Amino acid sequence: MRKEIELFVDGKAVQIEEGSAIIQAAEKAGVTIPRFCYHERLGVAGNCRMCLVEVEKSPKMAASCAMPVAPGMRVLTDTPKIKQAREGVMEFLLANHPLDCPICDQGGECDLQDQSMRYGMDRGRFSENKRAVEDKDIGPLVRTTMTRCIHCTRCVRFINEVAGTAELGTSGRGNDMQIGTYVSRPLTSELSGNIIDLCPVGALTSKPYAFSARPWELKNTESIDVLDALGSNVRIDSRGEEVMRVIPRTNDEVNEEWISDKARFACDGLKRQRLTTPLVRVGDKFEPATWADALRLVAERLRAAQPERVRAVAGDLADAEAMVALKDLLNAAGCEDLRVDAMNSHAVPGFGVDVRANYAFNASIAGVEDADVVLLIGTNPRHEAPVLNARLRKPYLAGTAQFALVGRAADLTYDYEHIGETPAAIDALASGSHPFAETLRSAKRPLVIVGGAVGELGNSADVLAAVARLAESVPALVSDEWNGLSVLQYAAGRTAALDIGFVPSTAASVAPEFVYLLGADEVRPADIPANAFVVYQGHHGDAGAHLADVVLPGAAYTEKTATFVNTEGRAQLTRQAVGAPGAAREDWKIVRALSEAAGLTLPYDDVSALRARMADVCPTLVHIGELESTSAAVARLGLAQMRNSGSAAGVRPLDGAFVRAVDDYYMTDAISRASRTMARASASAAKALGRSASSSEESAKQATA
Amino acid sequence: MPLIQPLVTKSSSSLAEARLRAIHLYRLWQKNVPQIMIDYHLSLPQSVVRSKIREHFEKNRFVSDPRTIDVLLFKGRIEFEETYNVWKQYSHVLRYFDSNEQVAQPTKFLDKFIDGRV
Repeated sequence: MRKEIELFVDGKAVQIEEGSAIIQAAEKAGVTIPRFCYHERLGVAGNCRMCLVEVEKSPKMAASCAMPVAPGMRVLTDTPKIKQAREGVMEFLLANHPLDCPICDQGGECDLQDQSMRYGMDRGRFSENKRAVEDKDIGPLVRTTMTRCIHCTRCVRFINEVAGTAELGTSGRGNDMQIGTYVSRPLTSELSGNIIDLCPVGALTSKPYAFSARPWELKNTESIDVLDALGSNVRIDSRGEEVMRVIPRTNDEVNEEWISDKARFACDGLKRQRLTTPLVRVGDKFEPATWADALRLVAERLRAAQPERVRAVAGDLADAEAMVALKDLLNAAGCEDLRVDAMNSHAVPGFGVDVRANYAFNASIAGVEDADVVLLIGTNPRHEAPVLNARLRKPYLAGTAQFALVGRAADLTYDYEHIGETPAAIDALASGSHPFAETLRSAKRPLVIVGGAVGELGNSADVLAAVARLAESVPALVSDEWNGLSVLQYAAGRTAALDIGFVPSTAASVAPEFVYLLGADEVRPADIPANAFVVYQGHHGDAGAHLADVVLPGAAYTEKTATFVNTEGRAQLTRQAVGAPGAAREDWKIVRALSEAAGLTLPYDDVSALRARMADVCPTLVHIGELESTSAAVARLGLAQMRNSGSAAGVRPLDGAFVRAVDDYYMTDAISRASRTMARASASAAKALGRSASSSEESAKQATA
Repeated sequence: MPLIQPLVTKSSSSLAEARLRAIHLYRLWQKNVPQIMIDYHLSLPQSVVRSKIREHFEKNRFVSDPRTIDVLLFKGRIEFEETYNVWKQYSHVLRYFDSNEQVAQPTKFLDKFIDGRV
């Protein structure tokens, strides 16, 4: 914490940290200074000159974004001289900016448009030809109209600093400056969509959303994203019954103001492949049915099945309400075989469910910035949680953290030491035989990120026992102020499922005769006996629905107000933006109706009664937006439990490999698999990877020729 | 030109007086049932109309605050004037009998769910 100093903005005293820019002091004093290039989360460029202010006793005007504050400084932000200067800047910008607002997608939310209302002239004095710039093809997500670019370089700074892929840059100087990828190449960053929000003009706009709506036609609904486990805060913009776009909402504790491309662009998947009416399998075809018939059929089969031969699988996008209701229903029916939709889910996941610290991201998402040594085990945060990966870059850029990886090597956008490919490397760290162990042990704030998929390995108990031994050998890892052992789940519904205890109470080995898939699309068909009666409840006709005998259409995350717990253990609510299509219903209501049809009526009729039940099951489920940490003593008990559930060191070799939780970043769930945009992005990413390999061969050939 | 004499608005001094006035209003309604039925061409049995009037008075049977009763009496009087003077139209009068024709709303969750009401 740096020293606070006092200065005066328009005569108003304001206290601010030493080294801040004048624009920040003005913000604090409640004065908004117009700006194009300055962005509080990016480095300072100081090239638009729109934020000029007068500083008393200074002959020249200062760019307030780049000028540091000084004690007793007197800043004026609203003088005729400043207005004239800004009008001059605006006139130069507009000299080359096309007057195509009526056909520009940024219209209505354009900084240039807004500020020209105040600082623009009503006529131009520029009679020469306007500058024209060729449009760039930077992939299927971002549309470019480079003639509109005002060279603020926000996109360049974002891609280089935050996203860390160094793909955008500037070439040329002055009037001839151009922004692009040098050679025609798509952006490969998973955060590339954020440059659309950052662009103050219409140079970078959303390609899938192009020309489809105007901001003033849209209804804004504040919700959260469920396509990864971070629970990024988003705003869903809808028109009528259609989700038009998803854009980020600021939450410094979760996603700052970024969201991943999947969160932003997968929303067109909500319109395709939807289940809109109950379906019953007749022969090899699905026939539409009424809710009454479908529920009666499912209830009959549920009653007829032996309780120990009933299985429920909760999918990656299942919300807490539906899971609590389904668990209550099936427990009432005497069934204990509840699973999450993961590999090796016939037993409790390796993390266990008794201690929350064992399966939550304890360091918290914002906390990763404080880490000084980071060890990643069996995870690729760039694909499992791109926004978290951008946060991990912060201590990397500041030079305050060292990184190491156990698992498959990948481009994570920061340098790391690759300790080993297989789980055996964990033992080397735990026993101290690898030199990185010393770095980890001497760290003040060590952070060990364990991938959610590690808990699903065949030998997860042994692997996690090794992780626990490693954790116990690092003194600063678990203390009262800091718990650095963090599990990065990859599915939005997973933490809630473990909170609720949606796991088999005993390792079940009986083949089921009744299977209830709650949005479970990753189940292997081989795990379901051919004669089993399968019910699929979900919103997309994806893999799970194809296995079903009865399909019950549910609501997607934009169509229900439901609780999701992110990987930190923070419960957040999605909010309903549009109605569910056709006869689809909210998921917990389907389960509640089924319970009545089966004669096992659940004791809640409305969502508040259900939330009261959720509070009984797990109080944190209803503490919306709050993060509750586990005490160090309990976390250590959890570690001991994790250590004891697997074999001791050296008893069994840690063979096998880590699995990739996210194979294709753009296609991970029913929504993104149904999305055209995601299909294009996936193809483009595959092509870019292939081309970069082949282009190096080509250049090698050219060099020899 | 109204067909009934205007009434001076006054407040009841006691519960007994309010009760008396309520009975007067009730009798006024009931006495005029045949005329109302002619005026509006109501194709309902007289007993249905009479019991509907009774139903509306029964609704407020247990109101015991004279001032509240005064307000109710005032509104009842207005309603009567509008009906008797044929300031209402056929549909307005029939609206009293809507509730007789309504089907019972489902009360169980499953029925409401199937109806799409939850």
